[in-house]
This record gives sequence, structure tokens and C-alpha cells, in this order.
Amino acid sequence: MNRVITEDPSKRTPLILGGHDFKGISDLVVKPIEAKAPKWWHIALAFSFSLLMLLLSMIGFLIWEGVGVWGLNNPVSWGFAIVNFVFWVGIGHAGTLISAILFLFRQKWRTSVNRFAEAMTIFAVICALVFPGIHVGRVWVAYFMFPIPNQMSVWPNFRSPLLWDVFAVSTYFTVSLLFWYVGLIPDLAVLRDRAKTKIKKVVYGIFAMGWTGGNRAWQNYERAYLLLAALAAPLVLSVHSIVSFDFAVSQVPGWHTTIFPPYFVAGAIFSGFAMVVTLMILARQLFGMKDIMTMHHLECMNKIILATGTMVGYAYGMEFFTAWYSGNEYEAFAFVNRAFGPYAWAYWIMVSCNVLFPQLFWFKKVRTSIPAMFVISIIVNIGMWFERFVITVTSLSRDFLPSSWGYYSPTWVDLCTFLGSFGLFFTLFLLFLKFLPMIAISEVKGVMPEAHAHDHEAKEGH
Amino acid sequence: MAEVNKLNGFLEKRFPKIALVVGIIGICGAIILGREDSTQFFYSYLVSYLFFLTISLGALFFVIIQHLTRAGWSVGLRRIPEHLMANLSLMAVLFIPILLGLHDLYHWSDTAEVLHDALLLKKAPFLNVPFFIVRAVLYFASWIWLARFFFKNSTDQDKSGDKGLTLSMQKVSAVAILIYALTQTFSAIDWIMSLTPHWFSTMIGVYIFAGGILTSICTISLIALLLRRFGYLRETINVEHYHDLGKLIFGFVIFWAYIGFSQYFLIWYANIPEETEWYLHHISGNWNTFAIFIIVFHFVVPFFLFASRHAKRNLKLHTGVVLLLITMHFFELYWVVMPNFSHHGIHVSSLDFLCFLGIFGIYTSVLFFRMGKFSLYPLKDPRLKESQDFINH
Repeated sequence: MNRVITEDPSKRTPLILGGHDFKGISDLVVKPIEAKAPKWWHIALAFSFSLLMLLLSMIGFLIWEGVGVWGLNNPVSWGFAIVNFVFWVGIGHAGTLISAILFLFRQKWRTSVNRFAEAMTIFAVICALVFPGIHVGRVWVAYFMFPIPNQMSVWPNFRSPLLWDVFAVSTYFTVSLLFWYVGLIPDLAVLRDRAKTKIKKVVYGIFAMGWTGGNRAWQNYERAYLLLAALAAPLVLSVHSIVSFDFAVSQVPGWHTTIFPPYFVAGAIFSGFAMVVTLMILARQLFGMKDIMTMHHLECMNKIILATGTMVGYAYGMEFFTAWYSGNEYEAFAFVNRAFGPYAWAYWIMVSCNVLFPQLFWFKKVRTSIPAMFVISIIVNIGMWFERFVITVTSLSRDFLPSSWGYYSPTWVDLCTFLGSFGLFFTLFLLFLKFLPMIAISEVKGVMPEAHAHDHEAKEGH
Repeated sequence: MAEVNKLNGFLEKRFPKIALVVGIIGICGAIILGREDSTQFFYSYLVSYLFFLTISLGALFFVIIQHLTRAGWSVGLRRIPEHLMANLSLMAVLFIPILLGLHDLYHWSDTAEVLHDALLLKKAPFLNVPFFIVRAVLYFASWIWLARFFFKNSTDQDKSGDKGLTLSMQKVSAVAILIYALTQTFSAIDWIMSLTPHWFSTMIGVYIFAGGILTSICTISLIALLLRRFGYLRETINVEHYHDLGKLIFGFVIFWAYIGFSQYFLIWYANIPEETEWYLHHISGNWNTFAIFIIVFHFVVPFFLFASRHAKRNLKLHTGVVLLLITMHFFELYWVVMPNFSHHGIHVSSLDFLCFLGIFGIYTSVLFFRMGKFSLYPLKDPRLKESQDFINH
């Protein structure tokens, strides 16, 4: 058999290009922190910050006026706030998947991406937490969501999945933050050691917690990292499963379906990875990190987007089939209504963005084309936002009783609040890019050939 | 590394023959006793059949996913799942009795009854005998094609060492996973969910998949341990590989519980009669005790036993956990299928044992007979060295 061998399966794609040595890697990653911030960064920060101010003023207006300023009505009592919450939590899934699950699966390519994705995760979860917090109506008693002992003996309803959300998301946030921070410690020490001003030295020094890079320190560090990864891995599944319970435990047709937990998790990873790809393309271009975040990394990311996108498509298909197979007219109506009812426009945006466009990643040409993947990654996130919109709104707007059907549309406050949440996200993200290393310096060095004891022997041909 | 790569002696010659005799005795016994109670026979047969089918299907998935992810660690042990999935052709033959027992197993196949049942009438375009058979043919055709493709390329590589074979398997694996997902799901709907034809759950495909892949990895581990006992593959499959298999087993124990819990929990919480029906049947009488027994020994016990690194690397303990999980998979399928027949509690029949023995004997015999004809590990796979060299830090 004469086949053209395009690649040698016994060799692995190199993860770092450009022939850097260890010092070269440190210099490259630390450069954006040590050099003066470029002009575009200031402009972007100013823009994001003004959007953040928009968010804050919308929240202020909401608290002043009440939830009536939103487009919620009867029967659609869950609108943009829940949609945005699920959207942002979903985006916040990529980081922990990359850092924990890919770590356990020994996927070494994750080292160039994990820091970046973890930071994004944390900021996305912060954006997510804003929405249920302001949706409660009387924000000043939002602390009732926590089971704090009090003289009034008022306890949250432990049987409500909304309360489980409070625990699930806050646990996820805490563990993700710890994981991110533990990973940062050796790199913070690098920044401390290289610092040229007193303030920088002190601040980075405090957060580096006296890291010396000694053998014992590394041993403890590796152990802590493994344990945190093991703790974080089930959280990747649990958070979005519980978010899906918000819908699926109910009896509303279109919400109550048993595949929801894994389907939501797949969708979350799908959207999270898309967001990472969008940001990675910009960052590697603007900061010159192409040798570390290579095309190989992007291709791996795109493959996961394709895989999870297909899983989401599978779930859509199963829901549709089962709605018919169940023989239950309400169930069947909910799905026909989605596809052909008043929200059909949203449904078809969702299907084309989530199921059709990512399928282009079957082609290596598309998978390795920067413009194509940039566009598709944005399309995916549009699609995933619409997925949550379709699920939340279509089922509520037309339930069992036709006499109580309604139509939901957002108000300007809804739209501005959503827009503003991007301001919060990007403000945090831009600050991260400027003040912390966007790539895990020590981990990247660990996957370079020089890190392995026999590398020089191999090079000399022994 | 000089390692014996061919079966010889007992495992090659006598073992497949003994297994075959056991299988024939089991099947004959089941047929003789089953003549008195054909429904019991077909139900007992279905449970054992599904047990071995899910193992072979899980193995097919395992092989596909290794190629899809270009895995290196698993190359040395990949021949074992390859043999397990090659048994899918045998499973197609063993499916014939189920077709003969359609009327005993699936009451939607009774046209007279369907006419009196509004729901079944609605489902008739999907749940009818001709379409059921067409679908079954389609599933087996795709599984056998996939299994043959991966088996043939992998064993051809033993001779030629052609790296291009690895590349073409990688290429096909992407399409294979799509075909697999759809056929596996719909076979679970056809053969398991439609036993209770009024009931429906979008999760059933994933649920059956989760149990199958878990048991399949356990079976891979068990066969490797058996071969090790007889002195084979002691270096190619070393403690690092058992550790990795152990991690996958641990992960899938959790995944299985996660899927099973989600399905139960959502139905319990919403409490809609057309869905709770299924669980009510499955917890009536002493089925309830049986269900708790499954939760404890299919999830809780292996979860705690296998959480530690030490346990995964201790081959004795490893064998114990793997055996426990394989047994529990049989009980789980028994619990899924049987309450449709014995509604008020467990009714153990000699046919349960005989059917299991029958399929077990034939399955094992074919497996080891084929194993004797090929190298025990992919001799010239380009990533074999990577697999033999890696260490869990």
C-alpha cells in the first residue's frame, strides 16, 4: 500500500516554537507586564471601563426603581437576568476544564492556555454572579440566600435548585480562584525577582508568599496542584448540572428533560472554549505570543469546540425525538413551538450558530485558519446565548394554558445591563493582561524538551 | 524488549474449547428448561445478551477514542479491546433469539394490543416490527464494519509496520464516533427503553453507554490481569497502565453514578406520572432493596476503594474492584430489564444462570480462539515505545 504519510505518528507536535530557551520564555511572557502599556490597551480599558460604569448605573437604576424596569411579565418571569447568568457561568467552564481535566488527562498542550483560561473563568463567574444577585428584587436582603443563622429564623428553601446554585457557583468560584492563585505563585516570584521598583517588589512579593523555588517547595506545590485538580474536576460537571436543574426539576415542557445535566455541561464547555479562542487569537497577536500559543494549540481548542458542539447537537436531536416519541402533546408542542412559534427566529439562530457553523471545523483548513476560527468562535457564543434565551423564554411564554400565553421582549435596561456585563468582564481581563503573566511560565518550561533529563543526550545522538 | 507476543499452551488450546463446551451446555440447558416458560427464557437471555453486548460496544468506543485522541499510553493494551469489539459479529448472530422472542419481550410488537392503546398507536411509526428489524440490521452493520476496520488495520500493522495505517485509523475514528453515538443511543432505546414502551427518557442512551464503557474498561483490565497471571504482557502492560486504567474506571464509576442519579433525580423531583411509572416498577417489592444494593456496590464501595493511587496500583486490590464492578454491571442490567417481567420483586430462575453461562462460554471461546491467532499487542504501532516508556508521576 502506498500512502502519502503526512505526519509521523511516532513523533509529537512540538508545543513551543521559535527555539526559545528558558530565559527567553520568561522574557517573552513577562514583557507585557514590564514594558509600558501599548496605546490600544489604554483605549480598550477606557472603553471597557465605561461599559462597566453603564452596568453599575443600570444596577443602581434597577435598585432604585424595582424589577419593573426589566421586560419581565406574566408568564415570562425569567428573562435576561437568568439568560445572562447561565451564559456567563457557561463561559466560566473552560478554565477549570483546561486546568483540571486536561491536566488529569496529561494533555500537555494545556500549559500554554491554562492561565489565560482560568483568569477568564474567574471573571466570567463574577459576571454571572451579578445577575441572580440583582434579580432577587430586594437586593439589600440578598444575604438571605446564604444559610446564615439569624434571630428571625428565616432559612432559605433547601429544596430549591436556585439555592443549590448559590452553593455550587460559589464553591466553583472559590476552587477556581484557589487553583488559579496556586498556579500563579511561582510566576509571581519571577515577577518579584525581576521587579525594578520598590512597590512592585513588595506587592508581588506579598502574593508570592516567600516562594524560593526550592526542591521541597516544588514538591509541595506539585502535590497541591494535583489535589486541587482532582477537587476541581467534579466541579466542572456539578456546576452546570445544577444550573440545568433550575430548569429540569420543573414540570414545564421543554425544561423538564432528563438529558439536561450532561447537555448543559457540554454546552458550557463549548461556549467557554469559544470564548478562550476569541481572546487567544487577539492576545497572541497583540502581545507576540505566537511561539507559545501556537496554531497547534488553537487547533486542539477547535477540535474540542467541534466535539462539544456536536454533543450539543446530539442533545437537541434527542430532545426533539423524545418529544415526539413520548406521545405527550404538551412536550411535542413545546418543541414545535420553539421551531415554528413566535420565537422561531431565536431558535434558528441557535441551531445554525451551535450546530451548523462549528461543523466547519471538520475541515483542517478551517480549523487552522485564524479569520475562520475567530468568526466561528464568536458565532458559537452568540448561539449559546440564544440557546439559553430559547430555553428560558419560549417555554415560559407558552405553557399549558393558552389563555395565559404572552410574549417577552427585553427593555433598554435589560440590554444595557447585558452590555455592561461585558464591560466588567473586559475591564478585569485587561487588568489581568497588564499585571499578571498571561501564560504559566513554569508550566510551559516543563513541557519543553530541555526540561527532560535525557534531552541533551538525544540531541548529541547517544 | 523481548516479550512473548503469542498465546500458547492452555489459554490458546484448551481454554477456548472448555469455554465452548460450557457455552453449549448452558445454551442447551436453557433451551430445554425454557420451553416451559418462554417469556422467562427470553428475559433471562436478554439480560445476559445485553451484558456482553455492552462490553463489546464499550470496547469499540474505547478503541475509537484512543485513535481520535491519538493516545500513546494505551497502545500496549489496545489489542485486548480490539478483540472484545471484534466479538460484535458474534453478538449479531446471538441477536437472532431476541428476534424470535419479540412478542414475549416487547408488547408493542403485538398489533392487537397496539390498537387498544392510544400511546402505542402514536408510537407505531417507530415501534413496529419491520422497522425494528431494519434498525437492528443497521446497527450491527455499522458496528461490524467499524470493528472490522479497526481490527484489520491494527493487525495488518503488526506485519507491515506501515505508519499510514495509524493515520487512516485516526481519520476514520472521527466519523466512527458519530456513527457510534447514534447507533448506540438508538439501540438502547429499541432494546431497553421500549421494554416499557410508554416510558421515555432523553438520557437512556447516555445511561446505558456509561455502564457499558465502565464495564468494558474493567474487562480490559481483567483480561490483562489474566494474561499476566499466565506470564504474558508483563512488561508491555505494567503497573503504570493498570494505574491509568484504574483512573478511567474511577472516573467512569463517578460518571455512571452522575448520569444515573440525574435521570432518577429529575424524574423524582418533577413527579410526573408518565415518567415515574418506570421507577415505581423498579422499586416495587424487593426490587427496592436490590436498587439500593446496586447503588452501594456499583458506586459507593468502588468509589472509596479506588480513590487512592495505592489501590489502583495494587494489582490484587485492582482485580477485586474490577471483578466487583463487572458483577455489578450484570446486576444493574438485571435490575433495568427484569422488573418488566417479574413485577413485584426478584424472581431468580435457573434460566438466568444458564443463559449467562451459555453466552459467556461462547463469547469467551470465540474471544480466546481469535486471541490465539494474533499478536497479543500491536507489535509495530509507531507509538508502542511511548506506551511502554511512560510513567505516572
